[in-house]
Amino acid sequence: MNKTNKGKKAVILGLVALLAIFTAACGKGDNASSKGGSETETITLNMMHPWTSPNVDNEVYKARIAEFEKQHPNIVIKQDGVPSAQYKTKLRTLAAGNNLPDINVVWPGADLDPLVDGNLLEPINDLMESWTSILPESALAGFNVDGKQYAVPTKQTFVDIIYYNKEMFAQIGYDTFPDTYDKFIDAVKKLKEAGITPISLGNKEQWPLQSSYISIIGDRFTGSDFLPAVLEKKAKFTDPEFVKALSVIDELTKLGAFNTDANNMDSVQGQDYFIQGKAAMHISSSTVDARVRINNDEGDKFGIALFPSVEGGKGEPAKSAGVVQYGIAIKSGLNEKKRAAAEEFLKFFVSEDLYKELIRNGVVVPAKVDVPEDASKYLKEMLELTGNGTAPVFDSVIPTQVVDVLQNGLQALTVKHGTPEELAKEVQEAFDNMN
Amino acid sequence: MRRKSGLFQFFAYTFLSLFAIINIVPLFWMVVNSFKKEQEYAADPFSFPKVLQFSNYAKAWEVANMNVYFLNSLIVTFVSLLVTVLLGALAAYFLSRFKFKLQGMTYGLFLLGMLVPIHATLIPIFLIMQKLHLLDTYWSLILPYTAFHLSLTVFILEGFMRGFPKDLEESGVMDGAGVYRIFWSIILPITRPALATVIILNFIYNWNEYLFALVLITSTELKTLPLGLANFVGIETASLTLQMAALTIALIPILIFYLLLQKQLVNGMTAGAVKG
Amino acid sequence: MQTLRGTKFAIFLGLFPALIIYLGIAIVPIGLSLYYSLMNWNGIGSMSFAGLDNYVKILSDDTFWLSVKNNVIIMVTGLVGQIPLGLLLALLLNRGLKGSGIFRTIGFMPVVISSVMVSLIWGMVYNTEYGFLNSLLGMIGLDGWQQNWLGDSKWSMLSISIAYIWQNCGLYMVIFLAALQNIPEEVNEAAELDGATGLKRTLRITIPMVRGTIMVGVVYSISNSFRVFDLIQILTGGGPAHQTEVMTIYMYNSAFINMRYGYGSAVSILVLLFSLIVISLINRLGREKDA
Repeated sequence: MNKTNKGKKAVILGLVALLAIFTAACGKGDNASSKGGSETETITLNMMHPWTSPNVDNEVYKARIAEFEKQHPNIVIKQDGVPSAQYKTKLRTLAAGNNLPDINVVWPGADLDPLVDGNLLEPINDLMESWTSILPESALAGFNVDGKQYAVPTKQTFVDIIYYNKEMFAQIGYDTFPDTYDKFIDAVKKLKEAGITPISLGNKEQWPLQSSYISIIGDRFTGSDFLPAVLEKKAKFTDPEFVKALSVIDELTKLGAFNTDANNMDSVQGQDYFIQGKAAMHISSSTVDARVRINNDEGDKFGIALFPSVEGGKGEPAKSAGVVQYGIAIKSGLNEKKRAAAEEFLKFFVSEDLYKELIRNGVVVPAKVDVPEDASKYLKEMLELTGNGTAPVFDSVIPTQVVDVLQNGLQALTVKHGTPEELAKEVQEAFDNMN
Repeated sequence: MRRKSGLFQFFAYTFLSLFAIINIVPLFWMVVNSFKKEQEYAADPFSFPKVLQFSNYAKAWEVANMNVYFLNSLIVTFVSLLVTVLLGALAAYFLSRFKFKLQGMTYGLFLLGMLVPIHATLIPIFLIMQKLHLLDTYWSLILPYTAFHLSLTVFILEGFMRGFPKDLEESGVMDGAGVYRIFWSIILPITRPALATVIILNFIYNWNEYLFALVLITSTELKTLPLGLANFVGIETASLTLQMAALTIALIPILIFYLLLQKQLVNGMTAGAVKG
Repeated sequence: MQTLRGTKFAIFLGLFPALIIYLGIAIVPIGLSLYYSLMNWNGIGSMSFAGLDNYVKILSDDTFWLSVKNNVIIMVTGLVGQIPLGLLLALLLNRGLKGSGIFRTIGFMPVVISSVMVSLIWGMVYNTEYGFLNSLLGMIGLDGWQQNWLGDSKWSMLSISIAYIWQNCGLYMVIFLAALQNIPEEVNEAAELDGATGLKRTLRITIPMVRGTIMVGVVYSISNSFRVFDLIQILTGGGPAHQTEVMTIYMYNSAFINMRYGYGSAVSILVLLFSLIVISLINRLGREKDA
């Protein structure tokens, strides 16, 4: 009996100790947040961003924020780094509570619209002179709603880069990447005959086929005016040109062009499969070049190309599908001091210096800045390849609900369910049902 | 005392060993990969590392911000666990050993929390915490963890306590002990195996919880470990070997905790009866 | 309990703190979800009353019913796999075999590791070209049995179920192990005197003694199978083309990807309703046997 009493006392003591630690820790948190209101007039800005993973460009961003704090001792940027896969989930939850941080990273087009509709973001038209000289109209358009500018981008991504294994293509008699669709299909067939998986695809998250494939294949067939025309109801997804684009996925599937596990590998696994030399091609974004070539000792094995021209296509064969990323936006309704500080930050953060630093690290940027001499040769090649006009990326223009239907339908095509015609009809229906 | 035929032993050990191998191989594989270079892993996930990359662990510790997140996780996990198990055991005791009005309804209500998909509660919880001005505090995690795991805790403990013989409390009643005294010195000791079970479960669930921590906490000083563990995957890039190193580190506290508690798990009424 | 006419006040005091936290933080959100489920709301800005529109739309969506079917598959395979296996392990480990402690620890490992890791592991097992499973089949000459385990809709749900059972089996083992401890030694001794040993004793005496806990395990297993999310989301993302989608993924996609928050809330209310129906059916079955 005595023994159990002692045990009890120990338990209670432990509990008390824990509570003490806990309250102490809580108190610490309070102190940190109340620092903002002290007499030194320090302004604290909350910023949410998805730059948590150890990538080159993420390091550049963080260094830039640190530099800002150093030069502005009275402004503190309190960062909330959110893992990128769930960044949008958090953004939407915060938006539901009308509780966005002072500075946000946002996506253009269909993702931005609800935030603007809910009056959650502050227009930054007055600041635009800082960027008009270096940022082209096209880089800003995605963040412009009804003439009001809501964000400026840090980075440009071309989503449709075909990485190919030069040795494998040489093996089937192609010293350069095929420049027409017919030759491309011929190459796929020859690779297949040679026992090589033609294309490595990691489509588990569903966006690759939509973003990296249909954006550009669609553009080759329909031209770049098509998607805006669909939005204005002057064209339909059931138009024969778009159906032809969808048929490409169907044809590639029937040729066995993709790896068997395409639908249960994610995009990173898809890259790895290609890097491991198990497939001859991989279609993905320019960002991936870091992993494929820039940071790879055997990067020279791989070349880059764009999707070839198609017969009778209305699109410009030299165009690449590109989208700007990481728009920096300010929350609406900040008090004057905070707003001034946020604007100061925005001007400092998104600037020529940032773009130059990104380029130096092999990242493609939307701005017209000189490429430094010491930039990677791979980056120079990438800039040359993608510098001949930009086609829109499907999901940056088309609403998410429609994108969702297309993505699932494309996945279905890869397991030989449904036809391109049926899919085109479903996508159009999803679009019609929205309004 | 118990007779065990050799054949039975043979089959039991074969079965258990097979089961153990299936359970341990993946873990072994994770630890092996956590010592590889990212490139080595990309080239062949099944190879052994040429050189053990101990630096992966240092880097993982840094990227996952474990200096800060580790302690936060411990605080949130333990406080929620203590509150949940204490309140849950008390509630289970009254629900299982007494008869009162609205008993069935109260029990049913507790069950409900076990059935709701957690994603559905994300925005409502966020709005509630906003109203209570608790966003971005430990409490914004402790309260939901406690509330949602009370369901499971009450449910499991009630199931156990209901099974105890009906004359269990009689000696206590004869001694003139009150209901709380009986709870503390008669019921709780023999519930020890079940308590150990729910404590372990609560620990694991709190320790691994991700979604609430994601949306309710914004300050780096207050974030928990699962948020750090997700830091390794970018939009089109990932550092899988670093992530495995981080996952290995995060596993250690749960393992220690389980090892400490598993003695209690198999130390039930028989042992308690002897002591009493 | 009749023997203990506990005062009402003591009961109230004991339940009050748990109830207050629980009602405020767990029940109110469920109520809010119910409210949103009757609304047209994108999660931001204004909402408008939609009545039962969301429910009507959900119930007429084939994809939703596909996800229900997949949940039922997980539920049934979960029950058939986890409960007997967990019980068998608990019974074996309760016999005081040498090394029980080690097996107890190893058996619990899958429960402890995060879903991210579990999915990564099983992705490797099921990979068509270099996965463990197909390599194994190839090695023992069963090439014909090799399948695209996750990509082929004939196999995908079964493959996921096996990963799911693997992940959770240890949990039930521990719950049952705890219950077995509370069988008084006298019961075993009495059984021995009656000549009931081995399998007979296990079936006639041991298992009936822990029946209550088995029911707990069954209900818990059902509730978990309706809420499974991480494992499938990371393993297949619900694909290809919805083939492995479950209700929670359907809900998440509606609410957070397609920004139809009202619609998503209605799905979550249906998840709750379905599991409630199944559990009360099971409970009734259990009670009937009790009587």
